[in-house]
Amino acid sequence: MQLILRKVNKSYKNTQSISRVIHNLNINLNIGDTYCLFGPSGCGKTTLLNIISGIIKFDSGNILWKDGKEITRYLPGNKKVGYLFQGIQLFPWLNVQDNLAIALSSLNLSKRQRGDLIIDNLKSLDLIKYIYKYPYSLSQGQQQRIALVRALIINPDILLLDEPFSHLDEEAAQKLREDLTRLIEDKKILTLYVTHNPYEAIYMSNKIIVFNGDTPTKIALLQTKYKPKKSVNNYLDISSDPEVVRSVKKLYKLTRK
Amino acid sequence: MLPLILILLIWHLASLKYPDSLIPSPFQVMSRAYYLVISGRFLPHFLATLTRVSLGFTGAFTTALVFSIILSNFFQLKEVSSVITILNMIPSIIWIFIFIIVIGPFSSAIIASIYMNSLPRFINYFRSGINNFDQSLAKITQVYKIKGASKFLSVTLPQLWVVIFPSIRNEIANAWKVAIISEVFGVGTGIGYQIYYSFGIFSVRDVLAWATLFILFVLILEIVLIRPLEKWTFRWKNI
Repeated sequence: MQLILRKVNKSYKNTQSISRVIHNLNINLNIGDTYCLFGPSGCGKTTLLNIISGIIKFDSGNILWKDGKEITRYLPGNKKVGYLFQGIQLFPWLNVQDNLAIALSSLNLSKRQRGDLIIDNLKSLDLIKYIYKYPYSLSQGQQQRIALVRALIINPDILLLDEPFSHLDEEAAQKLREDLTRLIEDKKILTLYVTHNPYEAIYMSNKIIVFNGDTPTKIALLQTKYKPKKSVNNYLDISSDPEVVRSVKKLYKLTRK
Repeated sequence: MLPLILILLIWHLASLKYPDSLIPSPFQVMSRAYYLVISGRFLPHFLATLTRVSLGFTGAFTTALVFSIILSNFFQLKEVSSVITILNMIPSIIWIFIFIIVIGPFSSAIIASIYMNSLPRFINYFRSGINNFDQSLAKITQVYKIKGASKFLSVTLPQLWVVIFPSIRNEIANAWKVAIISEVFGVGTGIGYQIYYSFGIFSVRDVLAWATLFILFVLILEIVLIRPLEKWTFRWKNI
């Protein structure tokens, strides 16, 4: 089963110019795989996530979902999307419980089912002690972990992550990397992950979609052989792994026009 | 507290220099206000004014809120700004005269005056609030398909509270002023009418006593209702 994008185009217009961000993009994404989107700034990585999530409309092209059914006009359609944005994105006036409950509001669940889901998911990341806390009283790392719970609590078909660790300190980022790899490991979901960090791209996924910033949008799929062992020091050590070094060099080569 | 004590002191010193009929002392005014309350004269007039203010104020608030939220879904609220600016420029007294002439010297004319006077001001407040909505939170709302009552109560309203409280504060005071001026021109009940009556018998003491009671009520409203409500609403802020 796949998410298929065919000849997708997206431009941003202002009064003076038109900036073409995605031009004739064709891509097949397998459900169950984790893809990293890697490339220079402004090449359309975040735009692609926003198109798939249905946040922004694209100019032309088609999107097919699962059994090949066209969902271009119905985005986000009947698919469930979990999205971890760049920066902290909790509602500051809602406590942790309500921040999670609101993500479940569109699902047909009883109050009890919602409550149980929230408790189970918070327990799975050892965050249950924060259930009645407001975001201001949590660290950035804790807030981002809550946002990760919110992205996964809806049992998404697609998980989108837009540089989710960019504003975190290394310790918090590593904690979140571990949580993320553990939580999506057994799920049959399509994960798309934007990062500027080549080591993170290799650590988080074994399929990297490389944008070279050219028009029409050219992408290359890099399959890495690195298998993360998901221990705390593992990510910090990967830069010395010869296979990783080779992959990083290849990544940078592919990003050149 | 210090400014209040200073005002009372200056007032007291002025009352020593001038005759009671011109500037009565704070004590005389407070005694008269107390008498108005315990004699039962205050309550019916106060309730008459309070009812008019409540209806006009609540009507304007609700209409402006619904209007602003609905319109913001269809087009930029700046497109209605010229109409709002024109409505805002119309002095309160014009509305009062128009409604007393059209409707007659009844409570409904006063309520309509308060309504028309407060409506564009409320829209202005809410419009500025809506224009400053956090777009990143709008993305979350879209991704998680948050709609209807959940969206209104958990996303829209909390972002509007920052303008709702200042608007309530300013417009309550404004609505009271419009009500009192309208009562001078229009009807035979209410605090405004009593102030006008006191003016007719040249009783500065009574004018000040009625005004004091009116100010006290607004202060009590602020301390007992608005401030605790504001504190509870913004309990999520790190203050």
